Amino acid sequence: MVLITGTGMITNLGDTVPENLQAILEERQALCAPEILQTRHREEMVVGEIRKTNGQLAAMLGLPAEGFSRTTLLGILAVREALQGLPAQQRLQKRIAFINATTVGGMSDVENFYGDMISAATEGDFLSYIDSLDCADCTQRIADYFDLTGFQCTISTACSSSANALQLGARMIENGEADIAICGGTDALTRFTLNGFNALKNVDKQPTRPFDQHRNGLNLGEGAAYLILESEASARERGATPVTTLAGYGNTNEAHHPTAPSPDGAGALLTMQEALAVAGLDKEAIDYINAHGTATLGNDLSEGTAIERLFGRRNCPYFSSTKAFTGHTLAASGAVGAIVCCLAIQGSFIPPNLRFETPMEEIGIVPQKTLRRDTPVHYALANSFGFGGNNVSLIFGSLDVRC
Amino acid sequence: MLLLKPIYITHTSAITPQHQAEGRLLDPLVADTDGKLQVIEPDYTAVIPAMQLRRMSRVLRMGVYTGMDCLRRSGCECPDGIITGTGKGSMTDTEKFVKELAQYQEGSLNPTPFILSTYNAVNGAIALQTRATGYNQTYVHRGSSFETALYDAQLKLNTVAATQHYLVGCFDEITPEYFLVKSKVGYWKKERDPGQSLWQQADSPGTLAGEGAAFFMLSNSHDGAITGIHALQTTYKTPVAAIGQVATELIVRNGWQPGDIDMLVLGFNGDSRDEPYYEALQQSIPGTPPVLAFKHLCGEYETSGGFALWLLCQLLNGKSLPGAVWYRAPDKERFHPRKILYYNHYRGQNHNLILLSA
Repeated sequence: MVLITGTGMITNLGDTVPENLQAILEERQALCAPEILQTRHREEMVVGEIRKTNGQLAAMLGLPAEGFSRTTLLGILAVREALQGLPAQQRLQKRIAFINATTVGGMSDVENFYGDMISAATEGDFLSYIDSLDCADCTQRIADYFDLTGFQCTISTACSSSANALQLGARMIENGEADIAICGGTDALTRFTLNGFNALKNVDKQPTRPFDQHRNGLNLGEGAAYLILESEASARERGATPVTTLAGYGNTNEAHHPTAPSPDGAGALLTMQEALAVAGLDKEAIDYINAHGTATLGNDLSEGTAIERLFGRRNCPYFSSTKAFTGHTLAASGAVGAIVCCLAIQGSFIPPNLRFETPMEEIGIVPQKTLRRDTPVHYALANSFGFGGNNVSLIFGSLDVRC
Repeated sequence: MLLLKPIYITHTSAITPQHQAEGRLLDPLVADTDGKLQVIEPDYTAVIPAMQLRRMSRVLRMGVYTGMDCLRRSGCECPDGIITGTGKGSMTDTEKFVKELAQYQEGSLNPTPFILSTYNAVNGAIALQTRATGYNQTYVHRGSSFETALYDAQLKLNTVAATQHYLVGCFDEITPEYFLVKSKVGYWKKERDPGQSLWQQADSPGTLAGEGAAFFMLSNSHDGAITGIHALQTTYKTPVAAIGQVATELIVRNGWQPGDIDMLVLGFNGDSRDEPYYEALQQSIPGTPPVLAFKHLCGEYETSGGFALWLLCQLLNGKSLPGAVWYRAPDKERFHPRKILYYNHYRGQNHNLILLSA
């Protein structure tokens, strides 16, 4: 049994988990034109932007204003919150794995300095960002900030990256390789990703509408989210209060197309089935699905079809995409979805799928449009699907139903 | 703490800066050009359909070719899992997209370099070609990317009862821009005597730049094993003074003794900042077992461990290696190591230890 004993997140909705929860319960519309990200698309697109400059983020952490990528700063802020219940003194006695995820690492800052990096210049501000070229830079700097000296690694499987971090952490604990695993991911807004998805015609310039017949693509977001995974023995020993359980996980590959999911949902179906099998649960046990729900034409058709095939029209659990709140936070999105599942279980509510109006023609199920309170959630399933066919599903369980 | 079950390498394939033709393994040894050791590229069309090849940039070709060639050699059509490690992914595509963003001021951009710059692109391409719908993972943890991929394979295979086969590999490329950028922070050796081996010039900072791709078929079954991987450990910023103890603890935890180690594989790279770790590690092992070195053959890069393990597999497969590969050559011509310790670190940050048996 793997327990969740801490969470931390920062998104456009707020700097902490309670602030994010409050925004979801308020059904807050928080996608806006970018102000911090310097892009020529600022007049014509909305994003899920954290309205703080790098200098402001660094000041929150007592760090110098220069030298840390935005990806790193967001990551440190979210890990700091997640570690509130696991103080440094308790960390010393535990085998702690730090499993981080990112899709483009320090690109948020490298893209501003790249011209200098490849120029003839040998001195300048760019020097302190040279190591941020890769994905491990943010992981190592977060580890340095909290003096995490145990196992560490970085995963990059596109949009399923942090969900993969969570399943690796769970397996390390189950195999006795770690007492605690700090798992999650971080990605800042970049021109690199914004223009990449835009060039793929995957970006909706208006606020995104997941699972709607008239959806027209994703909005990009930014953020970081981490969960503390812990063995029962370790949590008991230090008197930690668990939040939920991580009951199951599935990792499969679509083997269909480099960037597009299969329209029949075969890949997503297989992933969800594997997660149920690992959890030892029947599909009827699932009360809520936090869908990947990017609102691209391809994802929502594939995922919606897979959900319908697995659960059926009549018995389909509540489902919603909270990317309508946050935008697509890429590597962070799996952990963001995981924390939303934990909040739904703890608070007995179904998060709304903002801006849903028209059911999709191809499927007979619809997402939960508005906030639904007083609805027990025993098990919640979170989907994360990425380029390269890298799919992950995670199942979180209420502490009341653990066997 | 329970030990994970060993995993076994059954087949391997690599693209390296050195020759591999039958009967001409590492012969003659290829030296660096202007501080870089770049791979000898094979005829990719032998393994990758021409249609796909056209859409692939350099490191993707290297990765997909090596992975598919490894599968071909093993006779396995569809692996149970695919795990890769890469420090940089497709640097070529990342550089291209960053520059085009600036050049066209975020105007109409070709999305292809963006797609190919994703670190899991090789995994996806191999899965697509083999219809492998099983476990699929990509590690991008700088100098521990490849070793973490191996570790995950051991963790995955630890929990299955049936015989399974995982394709595990790594790939990294050196580009002119990357070489330039890293030269600004002192990565490369400035003045060198080509007549001397790399590790004899460890009195100054800097090393040779390298690249390569290597893939391995790994199984939880001993059948057809070239070598067994018994224990793996990756550590972060371990001090020079502690590295010997970390190695000793790993050996003892695995039920071996330091004196059992009869061969070392060490990542000497000629950088004065990096050498002390290898010296310290050697001092923790009794006696003077033979030491296989490899960075004078493949250069320094995040996933050079793939080349090292490929080279070790050649040795254990009975191939004869030129004397110049050894840091300390074995006394006997016929040398059969039983218990091998691999230690490689990247810039004193990412340390990797592997215990192997033959």
